[in-house]
Amino acid sequence: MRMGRYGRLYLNFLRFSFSRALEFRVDFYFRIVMDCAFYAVNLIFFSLLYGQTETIGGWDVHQTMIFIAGFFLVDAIHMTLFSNNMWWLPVLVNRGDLDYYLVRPVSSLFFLSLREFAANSFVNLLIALGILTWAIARHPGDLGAANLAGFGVLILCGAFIHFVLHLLFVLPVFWLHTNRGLGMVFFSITKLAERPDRIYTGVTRRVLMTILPLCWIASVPADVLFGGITTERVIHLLLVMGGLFGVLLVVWSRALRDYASASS
Amino acid sequence: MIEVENLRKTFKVHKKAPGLKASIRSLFVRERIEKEAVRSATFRVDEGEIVGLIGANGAGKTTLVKMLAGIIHPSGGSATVLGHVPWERSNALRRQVALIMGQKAQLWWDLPAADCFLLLRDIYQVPAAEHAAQVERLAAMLGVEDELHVQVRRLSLGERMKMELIAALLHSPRVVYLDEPTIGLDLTAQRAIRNFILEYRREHAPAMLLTSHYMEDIERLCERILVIRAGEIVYDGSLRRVVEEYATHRIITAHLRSEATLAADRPASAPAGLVGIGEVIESSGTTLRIRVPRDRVAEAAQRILGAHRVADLAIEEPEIGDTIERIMTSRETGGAAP
Amino acid sequence: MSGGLILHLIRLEASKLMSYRADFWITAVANLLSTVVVHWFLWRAIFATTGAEELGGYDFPVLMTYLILVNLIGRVVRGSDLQMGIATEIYDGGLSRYFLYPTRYLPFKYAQHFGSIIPEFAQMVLFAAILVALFGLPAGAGVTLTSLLLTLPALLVANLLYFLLSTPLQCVAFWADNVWSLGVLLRFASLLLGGAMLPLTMFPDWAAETLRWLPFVACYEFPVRVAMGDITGTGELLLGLARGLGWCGITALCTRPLWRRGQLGYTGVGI
Repeated sequence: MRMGRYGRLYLNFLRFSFSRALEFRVDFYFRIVMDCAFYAVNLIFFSLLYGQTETIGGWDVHQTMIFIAGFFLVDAIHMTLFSNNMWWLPVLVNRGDLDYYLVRPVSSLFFLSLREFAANSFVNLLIALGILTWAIARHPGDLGAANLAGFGVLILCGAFIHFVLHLLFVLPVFWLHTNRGLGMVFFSITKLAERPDRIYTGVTRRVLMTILPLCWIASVPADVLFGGITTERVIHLLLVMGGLFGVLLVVWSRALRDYASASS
Repeated sequence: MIEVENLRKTFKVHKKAPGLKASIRSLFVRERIEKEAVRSATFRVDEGEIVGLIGANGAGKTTLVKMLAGIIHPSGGSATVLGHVPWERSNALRRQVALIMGQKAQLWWDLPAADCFLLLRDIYQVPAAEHAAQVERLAAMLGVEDELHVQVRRLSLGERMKMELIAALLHSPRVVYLDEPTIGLDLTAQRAIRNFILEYRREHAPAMLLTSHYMEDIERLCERILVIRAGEIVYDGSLRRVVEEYATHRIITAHLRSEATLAADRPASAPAGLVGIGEVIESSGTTLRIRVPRDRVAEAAQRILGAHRVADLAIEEPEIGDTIERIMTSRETGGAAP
Repeated sequence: MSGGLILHLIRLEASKLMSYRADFWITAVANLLSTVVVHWFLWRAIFATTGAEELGGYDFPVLMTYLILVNLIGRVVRGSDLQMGIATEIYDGGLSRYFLYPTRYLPFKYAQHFGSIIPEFAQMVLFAAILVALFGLPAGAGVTLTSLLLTLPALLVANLLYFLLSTPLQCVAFWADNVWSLGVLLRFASLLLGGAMLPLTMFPDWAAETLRWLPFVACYEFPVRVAMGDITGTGELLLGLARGLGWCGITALCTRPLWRRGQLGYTGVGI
């Protein structure tokens, strides 16, 4: 019943967001061009790297292309579902405009994370899927249906982790009241997720696989695609996702409590 | 100083039906319609005049001001301000013109007002000594000397508006456009700003064009008004003449000696002896107010004096605002254009 | 526009940026750290895999110097490019007040833009000094006091050029409601094509030769090569500066008709 209600609510978000986005049609086209440029730049960058070496982090050029296309897909999912909301949250907090959202009989986390669907990025999601399909098709070996399914699931988990991490970096705005929160910091550190995880070693690798699980966004899913999933990996993933989400819920409720007491 | 001849402005806007299908369709094909914001404006404003520009929302006031300020280009017609074409934006003209907008801040939000004034001094190349004296004088006139070093965003609305006025007048412009300068201000602030504008006009005699929805601004500041309706100037003349020419009625107020004369339970009906003379606005206790056609005022007064024992009789013009409102809306009501 | 006004604007913008202290330092440190970490691990892995001493003419320490320098310089070159200040003012009607000032809008905005990079420049110098103190300068890096001084005019030209490259894109705001994506597009394109993601020597020869004629090289690769002592001859330095200035001229010429046309249809929404 509750899922149905939230489902219906989300449909309304979609309808409203589409109408709004299509109102700005030039921006609609520009966003598609911008993301295509992002994809092209990264594909060219890795192609140039492979002009200097046969493998990067143990992956050949075909494997890396699948990895980077997987990152494009995660990024497109994030841009479509979450990014506009992440952009607005610090603005709403600093202006004291959260009240409208907090008084609704709806989970505020749901409302504030999902109310704006970037319809102009939705086309890019389809393009990213297309690039991923192309990269998989170009792979010389047989990847196997099970691995592909595992990859698909892990990509969705990667998108979830990406969202939670981004939100955790934005939430300090409730206390710091900075210009854009730490959102810009998050953009900087996601560069680490745009490289194969095997290049990282030592403490850095341990951090990127656990407390700041950027490697789980696209690199580990690609690893599973090429090497298969293990029980250890599943447990690791569940711990990472569960831990992150738990931290998010705690920080979120604390943030709202402090916001409410400041407003009154 | 300001001369306008058949000035016109047409905007192209796109139209979209509601719904998702229409939104997707508009992604590829858009229907554009032309909207005439200003149809034909002809008038002049001389040195030392404060002319009020009045009209309903969407009548074309702000578009007209923007064209005269040189912010937008007209679609047709001509205008000169101090001999210059405003939308050519010559520096010679811009050094002599100021625009004050009640709804939009011009000062830099994060800076104290004094810093904003210093930047404007460099923009307008006002000599330092002259600038300092002007800031001191204008701040004293508006009573904001203590707020000069506070960040603009921390000032109250009234204080901010006063700083906007000072900023606009620092370079002693000869033409000033005031777009709703008292909007949203409390009564004290409104009065202070009106007095300031009058004082400034006395000292510097600029040509001023004022738009406002507050009748008190118009009545206090403007000897002459322009009424704009659906992009056209439908009246250009003094406030007094508006009433004389367009007010079709006058109000007679009679205070009577006897309480028994008027029936308190029939306040809307005309008392005995006065049926058909006019529209009863108030009839209770010992007070009678009737709206009477101008050509029947004398007759009505005589009949009231004849039918009742009158302690006091007053004949007033209607509220200027009511008359102007009727001019502004007469097309919508289907009434004859005044 | 008078010299006094230009200096005034530069001072104002510099002090404004420095008032956002927390953001200013946190974002800069995070950006530098993530750049260093990514480049270090990526290229260490590539050098280890290939076993090569040099790639594209750079050994590992010198390549790291190049990539870190280009990152530091990039912030000074771009300023706050993604804020799209001109486009925002066109969109929200903030442009209107500038039509009343007896001054030219684009030089006014450039003076503000230049002021905003002064704290970035100071930060760049500080970070570079810290990195040199911690890790020293590689032997083959070629950075000297002379090369750093010669970098200043190259940086000035790079900053002006990047501003002029973004201006026609921002003018599109006269016709479109949101042009932020164009600023991002310029950034992506310039980073790759200007040698900021990897040196042009790692591109195929035909591509590198072609790219040297495009404006983006003047924004990134040229100032970095000057800083690293790669450009020693006066002739070569002047040619590089002339190319950058030439592109400034071309971009300014392209902007003029766009700006004029845009103003004709400007409605001053927001007043």
